[in-house]
Amino acid sequence: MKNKIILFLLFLVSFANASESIDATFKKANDLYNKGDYQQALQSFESIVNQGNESADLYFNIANCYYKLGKVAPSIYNYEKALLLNPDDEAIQTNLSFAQKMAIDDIKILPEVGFKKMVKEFTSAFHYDTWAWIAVSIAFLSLLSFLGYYFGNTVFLKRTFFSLFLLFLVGIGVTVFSAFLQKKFDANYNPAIVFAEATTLKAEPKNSSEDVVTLHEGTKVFVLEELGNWKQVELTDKTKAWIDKEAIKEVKK
Amino acid sequence: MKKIILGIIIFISVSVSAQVKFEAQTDRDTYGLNERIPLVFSINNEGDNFVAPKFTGFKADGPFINKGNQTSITIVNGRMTQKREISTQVIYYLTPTKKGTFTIGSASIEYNGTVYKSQPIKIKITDPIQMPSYPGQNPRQQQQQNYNFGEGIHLVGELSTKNPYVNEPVTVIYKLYFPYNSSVSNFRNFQAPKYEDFWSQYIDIKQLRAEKGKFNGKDYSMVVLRKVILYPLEAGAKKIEPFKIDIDAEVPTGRRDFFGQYEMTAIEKSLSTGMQTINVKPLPENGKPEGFTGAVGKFDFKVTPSKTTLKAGESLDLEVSVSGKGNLKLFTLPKPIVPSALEMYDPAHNENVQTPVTGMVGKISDKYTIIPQFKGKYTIKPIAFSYYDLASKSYKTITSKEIIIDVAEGDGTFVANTPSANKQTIQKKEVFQFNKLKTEFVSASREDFLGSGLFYSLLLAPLLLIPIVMIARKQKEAKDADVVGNRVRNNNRLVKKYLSEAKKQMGDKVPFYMAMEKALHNFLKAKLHIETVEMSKDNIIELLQQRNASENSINQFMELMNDCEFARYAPATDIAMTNDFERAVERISELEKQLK
Repeated sequence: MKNKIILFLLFLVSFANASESIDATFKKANDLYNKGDYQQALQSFESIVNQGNESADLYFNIANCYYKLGKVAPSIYNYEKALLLNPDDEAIQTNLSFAQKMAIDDIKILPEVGFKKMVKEFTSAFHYDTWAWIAVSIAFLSLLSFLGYYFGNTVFLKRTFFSLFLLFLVGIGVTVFSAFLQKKFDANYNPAIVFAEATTLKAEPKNSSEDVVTLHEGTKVFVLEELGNWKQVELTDKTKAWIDKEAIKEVKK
Repeated sequence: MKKIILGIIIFISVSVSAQVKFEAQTDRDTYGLNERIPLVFSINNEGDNFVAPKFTGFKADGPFINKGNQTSITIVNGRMTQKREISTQVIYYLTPTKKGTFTIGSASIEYNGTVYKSQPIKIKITDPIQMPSYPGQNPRQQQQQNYNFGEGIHLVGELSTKNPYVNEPVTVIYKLYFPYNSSVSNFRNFQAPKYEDFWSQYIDIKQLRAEKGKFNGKDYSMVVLRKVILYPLEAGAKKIEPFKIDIDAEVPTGRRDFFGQYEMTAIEKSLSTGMQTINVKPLPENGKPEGFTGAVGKFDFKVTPSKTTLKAGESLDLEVSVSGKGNLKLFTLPKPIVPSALEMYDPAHNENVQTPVTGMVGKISDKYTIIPQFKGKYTIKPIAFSYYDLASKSYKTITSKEIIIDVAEGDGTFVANTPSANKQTIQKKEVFQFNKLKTEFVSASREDFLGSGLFYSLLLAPLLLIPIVMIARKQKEAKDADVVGNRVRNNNRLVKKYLSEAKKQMGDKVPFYMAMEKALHNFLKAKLHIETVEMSKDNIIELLQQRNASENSINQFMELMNDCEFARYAPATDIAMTNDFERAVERISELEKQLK
């Protein structure tokens, strides 16, 4: 028993130490960045990632280093990673657009239209885990309003609480549905960045197939399928084609 | 003389018929190899668009055109008729080149919109015949015409190599060799081949100069007639057609004249080089670099920007140039790849190439105008240029350095005329953001909350609580509704309460016995369902008897109640109190059993 407590304490101490050193590394890397030593700063930032930590700001800083070093694809890749964790950050969006200007391809972005777009816009308001927590809190609210209805001693109170209860029940349905829908959208959203300097997309997953388009470093594609050494991707202009697996790097991996 | 006679004959025949006639005529059917054949196409009117037939087997001189105009006046019985005839003749003089029977096809001519055709003519060429001698001509010389003079004159096309690679230059020099004792003049009818499958360029020879030369081991005079540089465009055995030329030459007859000089004779000679074959080797596939556009030779490759720091909206020039020796005009320069935010216009191509005998030398360049649209740092990727080096027989690749263009904020006067609509437009004020200085790290491998057991239990717990609450309330209401049961439960509770209080007050007489009394009363209330007002001794005994309690127990219980009543006012010891308490517990439990 005693041993276990000691072990636990040791673990806590070591954990505290570790997180402290991560913060110190982060600060040191930022100092290096400010001095213009982007290569060293990049290495420090990467070491934090290698320890299994992440944050939107960390990826943002890494992307900045790559941008300053003139490496288009890794820069865009890390900005996209940062945006996954924090989709509304303006600094990330701004710098991403700077990085995208360094890229060679200029592909039209066809917007999604119709009902699906509306649903997507609605569900993407929150991360699916946030949706889950909202659903849980609404469930508790609905319990409270039920109790209010059940033990209310005037007709007015009973009516009010009952309508609230019904409203919250609908709320639970909507939030749970949104959560699962958003999770599904999330699973289907597989952005990837072209890392190869230039790569030719094929109509079919084989080398002898007809060329569709040639993409250059830094272009964003969305992975749909995988077959052997090929991945089917969709471009932002909705063109679908097969790309060499090695030519791209998926943002979510 | 003959010609004129013939003409008159034709005129006469033409004047007989009024309709348009178009005929081909020769004066005989058979000629000797050494004769000249006059071939006359005649029409008794004016014609247009004369098309001559092919003269296979002959060398044709011509056409010579005669136009005739004849007016005849006839007076018959004092009446005068005037007739006017127009005629046209097209005359060729044919020289046979070999023996045999040849057919000269139809010629055609157009008059008044109608096309007339002459009939084909058959001509038989026999062995050379003895020409009729003219006065003053040396009969011997006549004989000599049969000899083939000018045997020693040769036309040769010299190839610098017969086995070049694709795009390796081949020089062809056409040389005319002739013996010292002959002279050549009047070069004409140059018939140069078309050099199909080759890129060719003539090199001008300003003045033909005779030099000394050797041919087949013998000394000759030599004139370089023409130089051509050929670049083979594809691999394979390629034929070069003969180069033909006509010359006049003075050659010795091999005889001396009256004054002891060599007798010379003027001859006309057609010369031709033979058909030549060049075996073009393909460039080796092994090690052929990607993006090889066919440059062969020795080159230097440069990519030079006019400036690398500028403001958005200003322009810079990017020059991609290749200089050196090789097939400069025959390949395309690599195109630079620039980020889409740099607007690049089509290049201005510039060639500065000389072509000496050894092949093209010089520089070609593409100049691109680039206008950056937005502030930022842009990289122009290294450009690779590959060529096949003939000296080392290997492919060489020159890669330019990466060029970084630093674009500062424009001064605002520039309006992007073609903004790339798909890019997010950066507001003028927007700048590249600095690093974030604070952050909170999370584990990269965290679990989802949605779908976890915790999520489901937290979500369902409140919903499950609703029926539980409802059941609980139902039970409470049921309990509330049970008045008697509640009273019994309450009194039982009070018995326990007062007994325990009594135990606490043990030794303190008054509160002890009061608590004892209350406990016993409450016991009766609970068991007999009576109120305090009904609590008379008789009543109690009666009720206990009704409930089948034994007489003995009833008596003992009543005794205890009396003792407790009296003990409050009588002196009592601790031992008595303990005794009474134990008795009370005993009686209550005894009655409890009996009153079931």
